[in-house]
Order: sequence, then structure tokens, then C-alpha cells
Amino acid sequence: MDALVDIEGLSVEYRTDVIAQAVQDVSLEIRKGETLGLVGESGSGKSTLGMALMGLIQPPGYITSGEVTFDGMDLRHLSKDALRNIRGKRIAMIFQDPMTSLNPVKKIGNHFIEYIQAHEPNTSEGKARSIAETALADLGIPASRIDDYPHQFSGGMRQRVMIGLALALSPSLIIADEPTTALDVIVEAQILKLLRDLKAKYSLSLMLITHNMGIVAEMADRVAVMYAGRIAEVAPTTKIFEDPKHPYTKALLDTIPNIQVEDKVLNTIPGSPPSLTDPPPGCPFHPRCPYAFERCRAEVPEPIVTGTESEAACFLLEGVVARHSLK
Amino acid sequence: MAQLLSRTGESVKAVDNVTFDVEKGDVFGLVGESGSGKTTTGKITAGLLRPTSGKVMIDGVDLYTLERKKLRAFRRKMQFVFQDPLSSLNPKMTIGNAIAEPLRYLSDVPASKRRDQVLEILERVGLSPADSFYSRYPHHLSGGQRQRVVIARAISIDPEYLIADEPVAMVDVSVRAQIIELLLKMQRELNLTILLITHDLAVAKYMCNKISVMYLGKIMESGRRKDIFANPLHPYTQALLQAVPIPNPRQRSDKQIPLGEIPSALNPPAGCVFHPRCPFVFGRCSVEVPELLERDAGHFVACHLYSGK
Repeated sequence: MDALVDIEGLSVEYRTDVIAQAVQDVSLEIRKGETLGLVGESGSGKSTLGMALMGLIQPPGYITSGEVTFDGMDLRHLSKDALRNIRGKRIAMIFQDPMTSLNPVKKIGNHFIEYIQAHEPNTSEGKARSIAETALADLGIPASRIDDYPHQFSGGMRQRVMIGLALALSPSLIIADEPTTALDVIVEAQILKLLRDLKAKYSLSLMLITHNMGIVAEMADRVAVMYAGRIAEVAPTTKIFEDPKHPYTKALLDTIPNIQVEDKVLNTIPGSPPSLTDPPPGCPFHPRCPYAFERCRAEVPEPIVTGTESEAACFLLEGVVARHSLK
Repeated sequence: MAQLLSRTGESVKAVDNVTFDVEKGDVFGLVGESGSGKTTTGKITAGLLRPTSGKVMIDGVDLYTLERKKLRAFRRKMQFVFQDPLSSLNPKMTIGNAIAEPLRYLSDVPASKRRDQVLEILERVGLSPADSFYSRYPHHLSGGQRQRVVIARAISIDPEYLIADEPVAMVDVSVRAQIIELLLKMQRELNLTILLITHDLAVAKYMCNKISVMYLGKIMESGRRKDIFANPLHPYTQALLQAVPIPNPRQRSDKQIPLGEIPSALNPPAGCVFHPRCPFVFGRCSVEVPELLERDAGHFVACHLYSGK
């Protein structure tokens, strides 16, 4: 599959009183038509990575190195106008909390009209309104509610509207950042199904940012696991769950309760994620890793190919993979 | 049994005709979505909110017939752990003082022994070495450590009953298991009775022996863990279990997800409160409120599909 987005060695930091290394040396691609799950805990850099793709890193945030290529275009060195033509029209984003993204005094239909006209000023109001009507139909919202205000909508319907807005200009990539975290479990399932259906209908690429391994298992084709600003492991979804290579991925999977498994013993990971302003030297996971050895404390591991389409950044895998390739 | 009308202009029946028993030394789960009344129910059981009708019996004593002083004495046996540790802790108070506070006001521990007692509790909840945590402030700690402090403070006066309201909802995924295990360890060591309030079925399954599923202020189904998870009877429980994302990519399936969302408690549906979303709805459901009836030993369900059979 062709890459739609290619991220090469991207680093982002936030400069306040101290410097927080939010994303460090991340390389990742998003392919045409795939759902890429980007998993991590709070502070892992997953949201910052999504913002970087949208060209939304603003002071005190700075991209300090790396390239982001979208459909052959170098996003870091595009003019503001050119970037505006990509944002919204080619890449759109859905956030966690729809209530803070919708204007409470603006009707639902007007959200669509303003959004569309902001990006495509030549679109008539009538045309924009008809796009809104089509969108509502896609979202399972009756057309009669086009002139309702956001507060008249339930949480799930508001998130549907956000999805509709993101799709209004027919982008090729949607970045969904924790799109269901604020929702209850049944509504979450409804929204995930909607995302899945619309992604297929419009042949989109989807980057789904989440902390929830269950959501990734249900939605993603490939998974990238982030920890403390770095990619720990990337692999096809079944491989991540059935044959995780990075000690962090393994530990994370052992630590989540699963309602379908009887009497699963939860393993605990000692400690907590490191501070981004004062990260440990070497591999960021080493203070919590049961297999850490001297080198892990001194050197940052590079990604190692661990199989088809699979990479993990861990020194333990060097020997293993070398042996494997000798066969 | 508790029935509550919170009086904020319009009255909302947050909790309606709720009945359950929590056995001593057990971990009991109240599971539900937001707006289901689970937190309100938790507060009522702790004597923090007087119900408009119904009784809360603790150790054979009807909590809300107690006079004020006695009620306060009773409350010493109960402690809370809330979702957000940062808002539960005073940012200007050291960890040591935060834990010493309940000891000062609610226990007989003499001032001279307080510090030692606090250090012991800190070790007990895994904040070790305790000395190094004693004089730190909440903002020096990680989210998981803060929740340990909140648990430490809750157990400091040796309570019998702990209400844990979404204790891991705001804790990082990699730290959640630690907090779950800590709560279970405290429960065993101190013979605590825990009421776990959660929206997370997987957490409830891991921690609880008995569970009640709530929806719009009512209990839909109650039973032992295996009743609820292996043999869910109520269509709402079935829907909840269906909806939970399973961390196994080979189990993707087309789910039957109920339409719509939990309605407003201001204007709840007539009859069974779940009927507008229920795939098995029939005539009686929109008219008559189903009673919570025992279907199998210890397994209760409030659904007309099972009543009268």
C-alpha cells in the first residue's frame, strides 16, 4: 500500500520554564485507506504527533527536526496558504470533547456552512447547506434537526456532528484524537461503528489516537505504540496483540482487564510514565522494564525490524532478530 | 432501599426504588453509564445524602434514623476514594499532613504517635520509602502516587466501609492495575467492605464478587460476577457487554448496538426506563415498571421478559 503520510525523524518540544520533549525522533507512515491506531498513555506524545500532522504546532511548541510529507508535499515548508488548503480539505481532525469544539450559539447547519465557506469561499450558502444535509443523513441524524443548537443534541449526536464536519470537505485523512473518550460505552460503540462505516464509504485513511487497547483491537489495521514521546513498536494489529515484541507493549497488554477472559491475573507495571521535562537517559522505558540491562540505561534503542511490517525499539531484539535472519 | 429527589428547581429522581445488599468484607460493584445514579446511590449509602424514601441499614442500624452525633460517629467507619486524586488533595498540604488530618480529628492516636502511624500507612500503600514522601506536596507526585495517597488517607482511621467512585478512571493505563491491586490488598488486609462505583465493566469484573447494573436511577440486574458476565439476562446488561471494546483483534464482529442514548432523568420514559432502546420491547414494557425479581438464586433482573414465568 502507498504511504499517504510519511513522517521522518520528527521531534517536537514545548518550551516554557522548562523544555518538554513531547515527540522524539518519530518515523511513521500512514497508508492510503488504512486505519492506523496510535496508542499511548497521557504524555506519550500521541496527540502532539496528530497536531504536527495538521500543522497545528504553535508556540510554545516547536518542531525541532524531521520531515512530514503528505501526498508528496513537504508540510513543514509549505506556505501558510498552501497549508490552509490541506488542513480541513485534505486532512481533518476530530477531538475528544465535541462540546468545546461546537459554538453553543450557532445552529448545527451554520456550523457546516461556515466551515465549508471558510475553506471554499466560492461555495454558495445553498450548496453548503445541501452538503450539510447529506452529512446529517450519513450521520443518522434527521434532516429536520439542521437548525437545532448544539445543546439540543446529546453527547453522541454532537460527536456525530464533529465527524460530519471533518468529512464535509471530503478529506483523504482523518485524525481522530480520543474521539470516544468522553462518551459512555454504548454510544462509544455507535460512534466507532459510524467511523468504520464512513471510512469505508469514502475510502479514507484514519489515524485513531487512543489510550484504549480494546478500541485499537476493534478498529486498526496497524498499531503504533508510543511511550514517552517515542515509538516503541509498530506492527499489524494481530501481531501487536498476539506476538508483542517490545516489553512495554507486552506489559501493557498484561495489565488491562478483559471482560471475556475468566480470572485473568493482572500484571502490574511498576512506577509511572516518565516526566517529559526530565526524561531518563537511554530507553525511556528502562526504569520500569523487567529486562533492562546496562545498555538500556545509556543508549536510546533504534527501531529494529522484527518481522513483516513490524518494528520495535528494544536492544533485547537485536540478537533475536539477528539469529532469526540467519535461518 | 432509597428513593431520592434532589431539589434543584425541577426535581430529578436520580435514584428510584433501589435495593441491594453488600456483605461484610465483600467488594460490591455498582456499574452504570453516566446519569445512571450510581454515584448518588454511593453517597446515600455513606450517609451523605438523605433519601426521600427508603432505608440504608448498616450493621443492622438504619443510618438515617440516627441522630446527628451518632451519624457522624458512624461516618468514621466509612471513607471515600474519588476519581480525581488532585481535586481530593489540598495542594498546600504535605502528603504527611494530609494523611495525619483524619487521624487528628477522627481517631484516638495521640499526637506523639501520629507521624509513625502515617509513615506506616505510607509504606502500606506502596509509597516507599515513606520518609521521602512525608513532606512532599501533591504536585510532586504522579497521578498513580496521588491516588495512593488518597487511599492511604481513606484507610488511616481504619474504616470498615470504603466507597471507591471511579478510582482508576483518571489513572494512566499502565498504572491502573497497580491501583486495582492496592485496593484489593487493602480489602483483604483490613477486611474492608468496598462499594466500587464504575462505568468500566472490565474493572468491575476483575474486582467485584457481586454487581448491580444501574440505568437511569434503577437497578436493571444484580447478581454474582458470573451471573452478570456469563449469563446476563437484562437486555441492557447484554447491550453493555456487547459494546465494550475487546482487546482481541480476532473478535471483531458486527455488534448489535442499541440505538439512542440514556434519556434525561428529568423526564424518564414510562414503564421500563430502558424500553425505548430495547430490541425486545413489547406492549407491557411501556406501561408497567418491571420489578426486580429473583430469577435464579441470587440473580435478580427487572425485565418483563422474565416476569410472570
